[in-house]
Amino acid sequence: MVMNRTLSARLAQYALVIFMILVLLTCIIPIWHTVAVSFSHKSYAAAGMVDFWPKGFNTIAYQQIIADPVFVNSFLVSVKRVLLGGGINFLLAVLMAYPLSRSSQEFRFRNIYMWFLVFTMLFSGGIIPLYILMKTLGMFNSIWALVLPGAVPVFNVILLVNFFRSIPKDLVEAGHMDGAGPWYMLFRVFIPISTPALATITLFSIVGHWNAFFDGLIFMRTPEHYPLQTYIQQLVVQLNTQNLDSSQVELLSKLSNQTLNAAKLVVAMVPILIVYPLIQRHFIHGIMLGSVKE
Amino acid sequence: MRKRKMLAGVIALTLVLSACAKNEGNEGKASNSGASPTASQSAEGTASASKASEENPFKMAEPVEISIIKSVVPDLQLPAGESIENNHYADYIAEKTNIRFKVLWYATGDDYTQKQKLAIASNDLPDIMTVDETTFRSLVEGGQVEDLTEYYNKYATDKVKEMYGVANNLPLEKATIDGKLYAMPNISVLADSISMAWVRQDWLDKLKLPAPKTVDDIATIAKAFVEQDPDGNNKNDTIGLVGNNVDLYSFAYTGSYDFTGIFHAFDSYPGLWLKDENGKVVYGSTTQETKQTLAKLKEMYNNGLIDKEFMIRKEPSQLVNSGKAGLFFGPWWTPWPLGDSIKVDKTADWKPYLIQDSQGKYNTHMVPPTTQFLVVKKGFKHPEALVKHINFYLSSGTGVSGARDKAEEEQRLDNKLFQHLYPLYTTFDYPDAVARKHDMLKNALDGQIPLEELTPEMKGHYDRWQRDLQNPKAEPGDWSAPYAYLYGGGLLKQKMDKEVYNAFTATTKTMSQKWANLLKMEKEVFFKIIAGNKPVDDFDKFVEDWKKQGGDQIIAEIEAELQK
Repeated sequence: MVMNRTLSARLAQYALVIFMILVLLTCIIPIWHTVAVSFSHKSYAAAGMVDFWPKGFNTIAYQQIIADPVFVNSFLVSVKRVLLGGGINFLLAVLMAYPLSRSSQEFRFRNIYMWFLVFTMLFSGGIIPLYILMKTLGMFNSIWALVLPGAVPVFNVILLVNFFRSIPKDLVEAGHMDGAGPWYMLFRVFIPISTPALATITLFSIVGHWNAFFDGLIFMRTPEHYPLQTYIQQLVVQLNTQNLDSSQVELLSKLSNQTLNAAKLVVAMVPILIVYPLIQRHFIHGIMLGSVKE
Repeated sequence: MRKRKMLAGVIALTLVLSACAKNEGNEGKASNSGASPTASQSAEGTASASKASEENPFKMAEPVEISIIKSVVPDLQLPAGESIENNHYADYIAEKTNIRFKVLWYATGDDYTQKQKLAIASNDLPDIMTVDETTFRSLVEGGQVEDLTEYYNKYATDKVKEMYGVANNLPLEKATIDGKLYAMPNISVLADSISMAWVRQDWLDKLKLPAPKTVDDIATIAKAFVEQDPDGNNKNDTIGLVGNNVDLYSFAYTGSYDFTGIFHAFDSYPGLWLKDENGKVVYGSTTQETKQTLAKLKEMYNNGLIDKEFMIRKEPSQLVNSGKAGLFFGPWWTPWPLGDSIKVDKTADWKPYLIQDSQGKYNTHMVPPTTQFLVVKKGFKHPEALVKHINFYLSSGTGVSGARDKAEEEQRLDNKLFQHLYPLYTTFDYPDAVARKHDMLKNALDGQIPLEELTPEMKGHYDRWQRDLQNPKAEPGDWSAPYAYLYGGGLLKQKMDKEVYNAFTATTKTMSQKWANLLKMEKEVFFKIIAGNKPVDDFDKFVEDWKKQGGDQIIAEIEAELQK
């Protein structure tokens, strides 16, 4: 690599590094603060006296979490949802993207299907019809209510369609030449060379499923069925100090347990923090280099 | 050409498909709703049989199942094996009243409200639920709830009627539309309206300042707290009066860390609909008194007596808990959130004071006499069950057979879980309940009444206070509740010279469209007058704008509603 060693270029380089470090800090500091609060004494946290180092160090919050059956249960619901939802999303996205990536000559209704998909991305019936639909389908309290409404991730499908279309024609023709049918083509040629795109959409749907809380809130009738984020949302929701009557005071004192809430946030963060680097590896690995010689 | 034909074909097909899907949906719904009556019929048995037991006002003749929804606190610790639906309270009530409550769903705080709104919009109602006044009126208008007039007249006990009577029957009036009673309204505890100044007494003593009585005293104390280093750490790090970034005032249940007490000391009642001498409706935020208050607050802010950063202060409680502030306005129950303050600093000695106006009078706004309405879904078979349930709830100490028995409840029920587990819990208490409880606790501590006369709730507080006396301020849980009743509750015995009720507490048509914007404008102007660079006289322009942008129309609608 050739380095530009003039003074101004080096200054620019330093400025850039410092800027990037600052950006990095804005990401890390809130997380670090949350971790610090989670190990602090409840009263110091409520008094806002904890910055970057735990004050009154203890691990009571984490012990409480481990002993809290609702939390553990919600965690399992979330894991189930991610596996099921992520799996269905992946399967449907791949199976839809492949035919849609063929030209209209090969697949005559391609454009119609495409518009059909895009339409659902732009317009929806709104939340009340969805609620009524789910109720009539009897899906309340069922994991399917969290998984099926978004079973086809349109945005991911479109991403994947575009990626598939960018695969050189020569490769497809070579496959045909050797007698590959559509299934063989998809599973032995397209999927192996599309790992970056597949990793991206998988990450999207995993993070999406892991973070979603609103559908859990409206379709699940009791907290045993809440996914983790819905459960946590219930805990950390900011209660307005206005318009409280005395019977709600106890609620207020419960909510001020910032330590416990912070600990729950930390625990909820861990799975995504683990999944990210695992998937990120594939961003670099998917290479089409060398598959076609011009 | 061919392509176009194809497109038409597909569109036609989708239409047909979606039509089919719709049909299926309807069928599903029909079969669903067809199934529920049969299920409940078997549980309810004979509808006519209930006539036979008219003499028992607390118990249904046959077991009845009622579906409800419930707002619960997060992290509720229940005894092993119990749930929100099945627990010792539910068993106790089922045994006594023959009513089994089935909890359709439960959620927390705002989530509960959101979920309830969605359920109401989708007409997915439980048999009985609690709603606010606006929802109540729209449910009545939509014909979604039962008329309870007949059931109330026939089944309500004298005790229930007496309780409403003590509240001047105002709650019943609110629940009556066109001469028909559509809900069992709750009875508000009016103590929750009054805003008190909570002050660090140890700081006052240290700086040799008298207790506050007027707004000027508050200003003096705030000045001393800012300048004279009350915490004695030789650092200029204390602030005066605490504010918050959301509300300057409260107009119903009084909030913490706002300036409600100062507004009231200027005879100003922002946020409330007031009736002037001529019966005209006026919005409290647009009066001259409000302008004067804003001028005073601006002066205080400019002199540094109010937290410089209150406009962006998201959690003002942190200032209080960390010992940076020793002066703020809050309700009588403030010691609950103050638990963290005494945990951090045991020398913190909080005392509440009421603030007078310039004539030495005490003014306050009042919580609406009722805020929650228990409604019965249209078509529910046993509306009288609701009346009987409330009969039973209020039957304590009436001595009628089948009524609630204190001794038995003490033995069987965990009193700490009362609010959380009692089905359809809402406040049905004397409007001056807090002052009554204060008297009871005080008298018991002074040895004037025997401990057996204490209610289970107050007995708990009595025990807590004994523990706290042994080991002062060691455990916030032992300190908060009795301290609130003894000091906050004690102050409530002060007779208020002027009690201002909100003349209108529902929502009109124009309000539902424009209120959010009007309120936003009001907040912006008020905050900018106090802490920004807007002159006080911009208030007059705000009043004009407010009237022009819908205020006048809303007032006309309210006057029409009130005439009804």
